[in-house]
Amino acid sequence: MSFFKEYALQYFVSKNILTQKQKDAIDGYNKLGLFSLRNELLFLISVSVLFFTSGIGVLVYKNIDSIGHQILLIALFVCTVACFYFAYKKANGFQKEQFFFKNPLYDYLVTLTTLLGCIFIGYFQYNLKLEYTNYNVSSLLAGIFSVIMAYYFDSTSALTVSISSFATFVGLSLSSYVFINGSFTDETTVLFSAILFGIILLVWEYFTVKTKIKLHFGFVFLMFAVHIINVACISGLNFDIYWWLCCLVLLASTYYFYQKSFQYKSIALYVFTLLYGYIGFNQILVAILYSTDFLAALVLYCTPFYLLASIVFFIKAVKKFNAHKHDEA
Amino acid sequence: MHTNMTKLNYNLIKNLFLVEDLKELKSNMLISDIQYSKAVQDFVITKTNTNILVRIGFFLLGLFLLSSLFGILSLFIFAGFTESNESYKAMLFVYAVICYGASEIAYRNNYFAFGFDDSFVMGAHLFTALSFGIYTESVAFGLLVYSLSGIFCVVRYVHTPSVFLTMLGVVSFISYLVLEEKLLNPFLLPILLVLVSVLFLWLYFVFTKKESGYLYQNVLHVVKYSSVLIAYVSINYYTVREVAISFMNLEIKPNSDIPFAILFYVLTFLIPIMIFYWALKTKDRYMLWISVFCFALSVLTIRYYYAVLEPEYALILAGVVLFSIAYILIQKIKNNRKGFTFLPDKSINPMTFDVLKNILLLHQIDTTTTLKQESPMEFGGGGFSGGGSGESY
Repeated sequence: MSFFKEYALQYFVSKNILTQKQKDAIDGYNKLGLFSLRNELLFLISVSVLFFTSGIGVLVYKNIDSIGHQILLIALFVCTVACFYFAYKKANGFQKEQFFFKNPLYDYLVTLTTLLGCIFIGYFQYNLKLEYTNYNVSSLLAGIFSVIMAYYFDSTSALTVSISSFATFVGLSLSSYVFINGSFTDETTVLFSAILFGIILLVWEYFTVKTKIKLHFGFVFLMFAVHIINVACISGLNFDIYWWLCCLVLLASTYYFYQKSFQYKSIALYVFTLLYGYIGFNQILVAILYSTDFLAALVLYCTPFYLLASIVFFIKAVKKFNAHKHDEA
Repeated sequence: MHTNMTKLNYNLIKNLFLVEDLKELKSNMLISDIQYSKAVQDFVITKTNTNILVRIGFFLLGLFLLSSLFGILSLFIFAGFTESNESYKAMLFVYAVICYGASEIAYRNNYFAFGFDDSFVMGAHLFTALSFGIYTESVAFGLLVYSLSGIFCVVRYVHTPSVFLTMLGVVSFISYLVLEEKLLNPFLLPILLVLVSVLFLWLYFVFTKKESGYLYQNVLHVVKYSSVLIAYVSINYYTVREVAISFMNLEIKPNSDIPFAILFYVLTFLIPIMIFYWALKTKDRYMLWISVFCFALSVLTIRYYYAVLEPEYALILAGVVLFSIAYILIQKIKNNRKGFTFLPDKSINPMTFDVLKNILLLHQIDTTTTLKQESPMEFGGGGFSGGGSGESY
């Protein structure tokens, strides 16, 4: 045991926070030297699943139109079915509530099956060269497949895959690069379909709560929705015509997610809501100030005070959230 | 008055760590919830953000505040001095003083690791170093001042991120002296840096055995992890080779290699293994992650120069090997009830790992099919570009 832990324990005993008896018990516990490698090993397994599926994906992609391709596809199909069978045998059928496999490794088997299945669906369509080939169909199929996997086997990873497949179907890229760049594209339709998709996710969340089927999935929908809707609105603020619509949606979504974050007691949701709201507010503020012939110098002089005020505001906001969380608990 | 104030602040920080220790006892179910909440009432602690997202948010706000303030100062006050070319030098001194003032205000008001205090402290030693460096027109002096002011900030404000920056400053200072000023044969640099990190480790061992070190426990942990990382990076084959090429005009022909190449190959793999062994022996979780991370870097280093396998086969092979290792280890420790176990650790938030996994997954599946019709099939094909953005959760 480290010197500091021992020091703290001694301190607690000297201040009568711990009794000597308790300290002996704690010493006994520490002597066991428990060191859990559970999270690390499971993380390693999920990384290995990702490596494996990416490797397979690249392999099949590189071999398109060669003779080995058919064999590869068949092998892929057999693999998917085999994985599915093993996972299916262990799961106790569909359940409304959250459940865990006795052996956590099966969660990763489900992820593997989902990813392999998605790869298979994608390449199968390419390989058959279906008439009116529209890749929307393959992403829709992949989405439906993974949402079934997610609900049947209770896997949030599969749910993540399905949501981003559906998003692809709607016509936007959910790759994390987009979030870094802070914008989808300049096209209005993409933005509005993004907002619509976010609203659909919110509706999904609403029914999840109402029907109480997989209640813990609700938070995943919210987290996707908060980013999709707000990033879309913020990029929409630059539009010439529809900016006021984006403005209204941003206002509404900030209010909605603000309420939701209190409901879910999630600081992450709260922080992102405030952040997006703040960015949007500043963008509008600057636009208004510069549209009128306001003295630029005066605005500049005021910025440090404005930022100081925002810091105070955010300190109060976080304090309020924590107090609320504490009261509920 | 002044010393009392300081003492009070240090006591609050110490209380924060004590409460964290109590929390750990509670989550390991060694004390009851009631006992915990009763004990916590007596501790007055600093204003601290334990949530990293909130802390980063406030850090950014602090940076905005500083930059807007400095922007205005430069525009409206120092713009008057443009007659002489020296004004910008004075400017940087003023900025440094402002940063120290802001850190001091945050510190006096018991803000510790809150977010914006981080930006003030980091700004303080950055601007001190810049002003001295520009005033003397010497990079080496700037780096030296950076390290010294960093040490001051660590001691005065118990600022944990600063210690990492300070160590980077020391390493850059030494590297600059060796590589640019040619004080030593550049080939001795890796060995010198390893010696420096051993010195840091020695400091760690000295202070972890002192009661006064309790206040600086996070700082000391960062010293330990960073010195291990510095030792690894300075001896890594990639850095040694690239440094030799850029600074010593070494030309490496196809069938030759850098001098003592074998030594560096061996050390590139030996150091992660040593860290791994040490981590398991001291049961240090973060050290374990560092060792695995370093090992992965070593593999990538070798792959960078000797890519034998095509990437897709390498990925599949890596997946299978990693899975087998993890599976065998799980089977081995599954039934342990002491020492290394597979039981859930109650003192760690399992959410963190779940979030990380899903971010990696989202990063990996590049579902841009409809946007890029010319490259239609990208499921699972996206290059593995590590470090997820962390935006989605």
